[in-house]
Amino acid sequence: MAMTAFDEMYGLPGDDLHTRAPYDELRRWLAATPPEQFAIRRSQAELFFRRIGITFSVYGEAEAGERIIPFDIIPRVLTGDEWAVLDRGLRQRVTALNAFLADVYGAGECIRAGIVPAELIYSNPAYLPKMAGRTVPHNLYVHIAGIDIVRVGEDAFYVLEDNARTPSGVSYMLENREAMMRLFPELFSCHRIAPVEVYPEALLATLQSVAPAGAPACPTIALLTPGPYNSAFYEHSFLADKLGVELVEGRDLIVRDDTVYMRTTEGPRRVDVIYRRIDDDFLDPLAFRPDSVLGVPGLMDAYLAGNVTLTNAVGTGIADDKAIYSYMPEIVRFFTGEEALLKNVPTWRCREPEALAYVLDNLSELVVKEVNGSGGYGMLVGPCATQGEIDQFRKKLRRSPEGFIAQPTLALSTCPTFVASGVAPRHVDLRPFVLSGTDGIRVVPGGLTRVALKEGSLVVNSSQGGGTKDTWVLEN
Amino acid sequence: MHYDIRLVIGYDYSRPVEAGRHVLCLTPPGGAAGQSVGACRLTVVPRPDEWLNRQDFFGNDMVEIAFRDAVSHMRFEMDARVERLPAPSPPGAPAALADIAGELSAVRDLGPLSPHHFIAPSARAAPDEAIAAFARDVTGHCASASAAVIALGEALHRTMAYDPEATAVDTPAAGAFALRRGVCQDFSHIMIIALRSLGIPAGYVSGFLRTNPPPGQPRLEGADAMHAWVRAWCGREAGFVEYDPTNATSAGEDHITVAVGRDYADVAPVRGVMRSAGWQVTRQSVDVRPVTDID
Repeated sequence: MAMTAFDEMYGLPGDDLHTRAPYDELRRWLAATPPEQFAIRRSQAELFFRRIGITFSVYGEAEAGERIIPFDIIPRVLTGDEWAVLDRGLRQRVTALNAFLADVYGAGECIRAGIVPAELIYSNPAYLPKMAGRTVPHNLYVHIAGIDIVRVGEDAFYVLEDNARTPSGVSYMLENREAMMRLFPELFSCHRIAPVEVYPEALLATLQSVAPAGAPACPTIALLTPGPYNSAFYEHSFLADKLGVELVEGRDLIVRDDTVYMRTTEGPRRVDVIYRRIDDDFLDPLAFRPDSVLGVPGLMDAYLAGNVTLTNAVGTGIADDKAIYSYMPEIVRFFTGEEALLKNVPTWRCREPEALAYVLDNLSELVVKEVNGSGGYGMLVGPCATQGEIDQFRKKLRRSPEGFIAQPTLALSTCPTFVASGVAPRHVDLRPFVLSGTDGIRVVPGGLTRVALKEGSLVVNSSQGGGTKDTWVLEN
Repeated sequence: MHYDIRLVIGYDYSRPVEAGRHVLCLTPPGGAAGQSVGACRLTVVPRPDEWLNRQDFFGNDMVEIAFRDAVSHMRFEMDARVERLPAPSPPGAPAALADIAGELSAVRDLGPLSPHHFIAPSARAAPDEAIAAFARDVTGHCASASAAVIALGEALHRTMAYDPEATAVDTPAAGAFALRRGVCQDFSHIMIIALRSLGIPAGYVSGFLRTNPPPGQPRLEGADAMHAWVRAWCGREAGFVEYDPTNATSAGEDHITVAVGRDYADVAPVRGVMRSAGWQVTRQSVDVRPVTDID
């Protein structure tokens, strides 16, 4: 598929001689460094990631063991001015997401005002009646957000999706920077790059700030993981280590009298904040899925009694639903009184008959996604699909249109990337992480850049063969 | 009609079980439409170390208990005196079946009993094509939502055999429908799935049935254990109506409500977690006796 994509090093095609300013040094470096040198560095990078054991698993594959996510040594660069725009937009968007969730589980003003249709909320499997009418500590829901952003032109950034449940990938942001600094210290002396190493500190401060009222000044925090079989277990152990908090599984926690305790060698110790990386459904077998052995019986009681803070809050899935996403411009306007600074990708909601008819007629040009899906599973990229895949999807769409949205196939920006044949442009996206505490919003400059390694591919998810890059935000 | 209700649920464990935590939904609420509760007592043996009274989202009374030490048996006893009034006639006319979707989107109420919460698939009432096709078949001639409720309930009662041996508590509704056999829980889930497939919001009611029928009437199925039936939203004027597909009758003076939810998962009488290395035996007995002399 030929698409005219904006290249972050060279700008639009036909413009090859002109390098965009932020990439000047990198271009020189690429030209001046002998290819053998790159080959050595690439194998060193691979060794680095293998040594530290930064792996993930892909569900549903025969060799479902642990894999290394491919790392590309050419960094992706954003200017300080570009970042300033994103930063403001991200803060605004996350503020709106938090207000939206508080409203959905509270007064429901945005539904009464007709901003979002009621049935889209109440018929949504991600909406949890258990949370309705309840208050969560400090009225904050999305403490840790991962907002996926794509670029299609010099000044054109779009939000592709909001991840408000348990967004992952931040460990790659940190490890990629670490790897780059070890492999190419010379690059860091000729660029002024905003540090990302402050993320663990910022996360810890955020988690401490959201402890329930009455918790000690230095609250006890634990990171709750589903365990080593989870695809992101590496990240869970990495973050617990960086934060200096205990990494616990469900069976390490007990609930007594609406209070959560952690089993320790010195007896039960009260836990004030749980950074949970377990999905809502599995948190508490008494409240949600009764067959969950990953959760903690009674945890929801302690939570709803206000004795422990869960980050993110329970029920945030309703905010990263892809059908709700299509209403984000209105949601931002309703809750902040401002126009959204970050644009949404135009979205057809297949639940609406006219939209469905359009989508069915244009399947070969659209990207169709499940409203509750994630990780690139169950989506159709029309221009890359075979006729058979399109026909199959057409049937799925007809059967349950409300389960899908469609978007135009965007020409995601490309970045120079090492591939078998040398350096070639590959499509990228960006996931910055936004932290919300009672003491404000923190955004670490940068994020995780994911790159689709297959030529022409637009799917950057690691589960679908994507890789990652270090992301530089240049300081002005 | 006044009733004395006695429910006993007992568990015997082959080996002591530890870390038990249970949520009980066994007591009839005073506030349910058409009934008032004179007295109600729930006893748990052995005495739990934690006892927390709660209300869930739908307003049902729940009791959560926890044991610190291992127990080898557990017993819940619930005694209540309840007055059940005959089902009132609906306050208004039911909506036309074709209008129900429009009526629903006009509802602005978002409270726990708003019909919005009862239209989407839920944990135990997932959409099923066979059930949806059955629903279309038997309601084709129905003009109003409440006619569809009755047609569907009667058709289920005709088609399905009441058979406590055929299904278990975790049998999916689609499986019971394929067998055309089941108990009140299966009948109710199938009917809920069918109603939702027609666009009619529907929920699950757990409760009790009068044990012995009035003279000259047949004994109702499901009176020996806790029972379940269906509530269906028939439009803004008519509101929710209750129907018992197991007995092909509107829920009325013989039905005592304990809890309402989207399906069984919301209102399971006993939900619990514990650690154990053996088997368990469960017993349940229910007695719902009309009180003839009130002092």
